[in-house]
Amino acid sequence: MRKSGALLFASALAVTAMLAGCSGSNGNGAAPAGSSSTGTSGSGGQDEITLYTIQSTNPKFEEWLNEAQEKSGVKIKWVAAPTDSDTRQQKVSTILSSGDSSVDVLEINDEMATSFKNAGWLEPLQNSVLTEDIMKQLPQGYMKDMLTSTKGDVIGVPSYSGYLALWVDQKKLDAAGMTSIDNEEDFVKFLKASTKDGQYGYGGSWEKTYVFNEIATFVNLFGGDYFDWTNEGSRKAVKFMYDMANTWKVTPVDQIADKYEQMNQKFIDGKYAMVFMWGTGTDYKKANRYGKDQIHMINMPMFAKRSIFTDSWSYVLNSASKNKEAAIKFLKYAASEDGELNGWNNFDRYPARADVAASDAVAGDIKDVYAEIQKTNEIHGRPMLPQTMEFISEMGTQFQNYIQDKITLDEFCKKAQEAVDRYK
Amino acid sequence: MVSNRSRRLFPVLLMWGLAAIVAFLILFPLWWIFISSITPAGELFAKPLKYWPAHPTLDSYRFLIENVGLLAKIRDTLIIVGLSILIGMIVSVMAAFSFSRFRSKGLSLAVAFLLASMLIPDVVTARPLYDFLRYVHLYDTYAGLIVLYISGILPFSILILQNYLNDIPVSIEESASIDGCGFLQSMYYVTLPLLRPALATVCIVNFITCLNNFFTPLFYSNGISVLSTAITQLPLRDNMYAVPWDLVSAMGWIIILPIIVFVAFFQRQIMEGIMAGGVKG
Repeated sequence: MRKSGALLFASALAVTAMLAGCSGSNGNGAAPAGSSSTGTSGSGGQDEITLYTIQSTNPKFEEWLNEAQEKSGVKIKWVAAPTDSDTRQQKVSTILSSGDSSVDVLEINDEMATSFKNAGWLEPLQNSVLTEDIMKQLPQGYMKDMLTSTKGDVIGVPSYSGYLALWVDQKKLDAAGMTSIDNEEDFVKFLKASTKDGQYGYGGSWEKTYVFNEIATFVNLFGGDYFDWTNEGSRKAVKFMYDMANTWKVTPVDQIADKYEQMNQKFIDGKYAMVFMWGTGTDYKKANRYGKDQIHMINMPMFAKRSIFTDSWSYVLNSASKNKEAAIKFLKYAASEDGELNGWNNFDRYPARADVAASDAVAGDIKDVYAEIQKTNEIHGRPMLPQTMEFISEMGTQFQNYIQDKITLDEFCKKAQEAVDRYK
Repeated sequence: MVSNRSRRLFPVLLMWGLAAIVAFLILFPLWWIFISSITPAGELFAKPLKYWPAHPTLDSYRFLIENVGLLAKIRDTLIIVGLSILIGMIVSVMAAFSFSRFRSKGLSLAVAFLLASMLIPDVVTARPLYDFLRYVHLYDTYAGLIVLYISGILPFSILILQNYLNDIPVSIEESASIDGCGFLQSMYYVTLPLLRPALATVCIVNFITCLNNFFTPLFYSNGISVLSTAITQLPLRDNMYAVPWDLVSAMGWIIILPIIVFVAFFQRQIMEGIMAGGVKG
């Protein structure tokens, strides 16, 4: 029994010692998930930041990190951000709103940029990082829509440029006897020609939180305004989507349950002839369905105009950061040619800067179509409001009601306008 | 004769039929998560549905080990859950003993306060607690998390142990005292052995509770990551919007497997202990 007592006492001591050793390990109480063992320090160990990143689980993250540290001269500790969107938004909101200085630089997406850019939690970067020569090279519409606050402060450095582009199945295009989809007429012709034998001309992900991407894309193509549902172009756009599903039956109504995973699988399986999709086609490459003779990206067709949405993840500087100098050093690197190419080489992220994208270092078949898009399209950030997810969800719900004939076009437009007014 | 046999057979068939339906409802999702975890990403949404993948692979598990730091998460989970249960049990036993054996207004108030704390949703106290932990430098530390885990399991543990203790006659401890046992000796040699079934139950239930705890590690840590939150840290696919369901399934399976095993092995103790501690007294 004495032995057991001694064991219990020893355990209690060990626990106490361990807890004492574990607390406040980082001065500020934070214990970052990782830090590079190979990182260099630019000024005798002083230049060090903590990066809140979604890329830490990417197999090439270490390579990216090593290069970023080497070329920026900043030692980068990193903390893995949740990749689940709701969780991430909640975590980042808490960090920023509480003045938590344990994280210096964060990667945020469009939804978060919209929510945070006017909150005063992020440091303006136009004077320190995004100088005029760099700003000139970035997509102007996106920078204005997404990363500029109402006060005119630019709060983020976009780490890449992705397009919600049109992807077509070339075999179906050939089968329809067409060589290109240049305008609305071609688009509709291809829709109808490729709808047969249980296959559809168009595939969408019309789940209520996803469909706003496509609604807004058509609204822009028809020259409408997503925030103005009295605009004839906006009405035409949703009527066009309704006709695709119900009048021409060139796209299935049951895709109101589909997100990108389901839509992509159906596209790969040959059920759809074209879709709007983000990214550079990794899923299609993995399925051996990528290529000029198979699934590939094409320029947006001309409806009332050519217009495309771009998205990005941007690096932002926490206002509460105690390492602002080092953070700015890192952000300058991220905005530089080296920084953009690092993302391209390791994460397949297409450079946001036009001059970097045009350089010889960026190669591949995606480059030609990206260049054509940049040259011929209006490029915008997606229409988001501060209560992003609520607004997106509300619009999606009303659209689904319209597509399922539960409400009329007029009712949809009225409710959509009400949602805009409520969340603006 | 036939009708008599049918009459006897019917309840048996009904029982087994219902058991089969319930088992199917519980096991089928688990089976689906498992086969999704060994299905290549490109085949996950293939139609028609397949109940066994055409090309089974362990790539998702390999990816989790190589890129998501699975082993580190298991280590962190074991440290936090293990210490929380150990310390939580010591505190619970002492508290339950005090609440059961001594009477005062203050103690009654303390019990009421403890039980009332079970009714407060985590999210209500989240922000002030977050600020407090940062202030005392316990945010994102093992110590901070362990304290929070312990505070989460204490009310239930104390409730069960106190009810169980109420059924152990005080006269046994009084006899020990007459025989020369001091207070601690009487507690150690007499009470604790009698509490063993309840202790086992509380340990098992707390283990499952801690393993399942999602909110605490998610909200109060950044760098320390446990298994329950690992599912939020899986890489996004190329387009940054698609969920990697193959990895989610693999991680989900890793999270639920120990719980299934635990419940399968200890379900009798769990039920007996809860019934004993919860109903009596």
